[in-house]
Amino acid sequence: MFSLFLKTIRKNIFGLAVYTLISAAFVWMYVAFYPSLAKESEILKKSFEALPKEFFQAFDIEIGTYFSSLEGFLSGEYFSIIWPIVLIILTIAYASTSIAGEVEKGTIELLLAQPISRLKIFLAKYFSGIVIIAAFVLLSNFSAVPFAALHNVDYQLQNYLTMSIIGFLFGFAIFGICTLLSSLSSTKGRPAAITGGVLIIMYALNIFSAFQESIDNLKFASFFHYYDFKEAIVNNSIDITNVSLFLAVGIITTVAATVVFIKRDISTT
Amino acid sequence: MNVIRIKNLKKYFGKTRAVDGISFDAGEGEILGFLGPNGAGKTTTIRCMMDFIRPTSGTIEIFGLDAQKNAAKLKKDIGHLSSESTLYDSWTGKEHIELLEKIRGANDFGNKLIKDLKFDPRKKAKALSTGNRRKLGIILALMHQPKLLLLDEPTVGLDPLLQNYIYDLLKKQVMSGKTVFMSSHNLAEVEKICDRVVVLRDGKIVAVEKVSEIRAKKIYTISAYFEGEVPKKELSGDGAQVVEEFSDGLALKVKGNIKPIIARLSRYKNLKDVTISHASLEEVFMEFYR
Repeated sequence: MFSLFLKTIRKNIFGLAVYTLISAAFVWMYVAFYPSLAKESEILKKSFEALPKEFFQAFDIEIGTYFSSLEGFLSGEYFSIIWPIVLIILTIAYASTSIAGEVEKGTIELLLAQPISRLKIFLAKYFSGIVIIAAFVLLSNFSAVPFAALHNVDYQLQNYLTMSIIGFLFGFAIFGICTLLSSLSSTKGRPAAITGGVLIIMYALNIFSAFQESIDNLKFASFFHYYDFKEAIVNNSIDITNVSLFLAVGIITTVAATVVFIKRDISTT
Repeated sequence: MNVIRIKNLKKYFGKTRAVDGISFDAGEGEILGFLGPNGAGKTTTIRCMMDFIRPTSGTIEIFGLDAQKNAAKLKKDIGHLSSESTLYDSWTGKEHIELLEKIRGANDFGNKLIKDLKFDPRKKAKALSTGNRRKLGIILALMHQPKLLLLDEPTVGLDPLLQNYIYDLLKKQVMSGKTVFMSSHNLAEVEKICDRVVVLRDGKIVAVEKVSEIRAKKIYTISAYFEGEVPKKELSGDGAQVVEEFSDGLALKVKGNIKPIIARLSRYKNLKDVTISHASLEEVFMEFYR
């Protein structure tokens, strides 16, 4: 099982490096940009205040913290949309390929023909995915630290760890859902499309619920409501409800995915 | 001792009855052929034996153990070759071999196969020809020297020289007490190496026979040539059937005793020539499919 786990990680290391470098490049750009922005913060604050309040609510941006610290700035520019998008793409790409992709290509037969139980095959694939997501989260988030040092910007190290925890749990829940769909499917396109579609709907629910009070409760159906990046990266805290929800979704879907993979017929053609 | 024992195996996909109540055994040191046209249920049966898919009903025992409940344990002694040679395109042959060595343990036999098959393990799978992909599939199936080989059309895509190498290899495996269960479309292949054959049609077994017995079945082809009128209608019947017509004669397929048809033919004064031949193995098998 361990050899399959390592081989799967090695197989995906290039993809992990690409996604991490893309994210780190964004972080570098924002960190490099921040000092000049901070100098002009008073003027920018006034012009920002002229925009409608709902706009900032929708994207969970707080003008007060936006200019006051690097973390506040990254919260509004990076962790609100760019970073979760990269995380989602990485997670969906891996989860849909790891099982359904192997069934689609027929390579799963090579693994199933070996003296390893289905449970072990599943766990090797699953935990290599978890390691890949964790590595991406930590590397991409902590890439802010050396860049901040390089540009003489103050930073709060602890906040990046807190951000990594809520970010990882967000990815863990999405990974669980996509892995379950991947276990059910024989083509990688289907789990990727369904998970992506569900997340787009969730994102839209979160945005629209901020604009209209009558549909405010819809935000509770969205993962993006519980992905409280601002609280983590700016205030270094995590709501236990958010942690519990992501953990519950991740664990339930993982157990379901394991059972489905063990029980299903795996017919490659 | 029965290495494989299948009892009343059924596998349905919705309304499609891919395998519909088949039963057969395979003994130690035997090469059992599994013959049938496309869609007969050969690959489905092998997948059930490998526990890739689960039977709708029936039992599969391998080495006396339930093939589903003991799947991981049994696979230590099983070498499997799928009909498609499914490989990781971005991996080299060496990477495939190394992964299996890590799972099953290293073995010098793999290197011997690489050498004998003249296979280059440094190439990525996506760069391999169909024949070379097949070679790698065979290496992966045989390298740990399993006691039982489940091979789905093992020589597809191989040139005749390599086919012969595989036949010799399988015969050697069997001589050392191993068992081979192989599906095939190729009758010449079955005739060459199999001891017995299970003939499948539409998910059902139509025959389980020794190859030598099938070959000995009395089916003849009689070609008769006439001067002038050809007595087509008169020659049919008594186990004789017209299968081909020529401008000056016809070909008859005769099952069983040929004496009555010979006697009838001899009464025709315009008969100018007769040839009698045993039916080929292919013609015998075609009987099962009709």
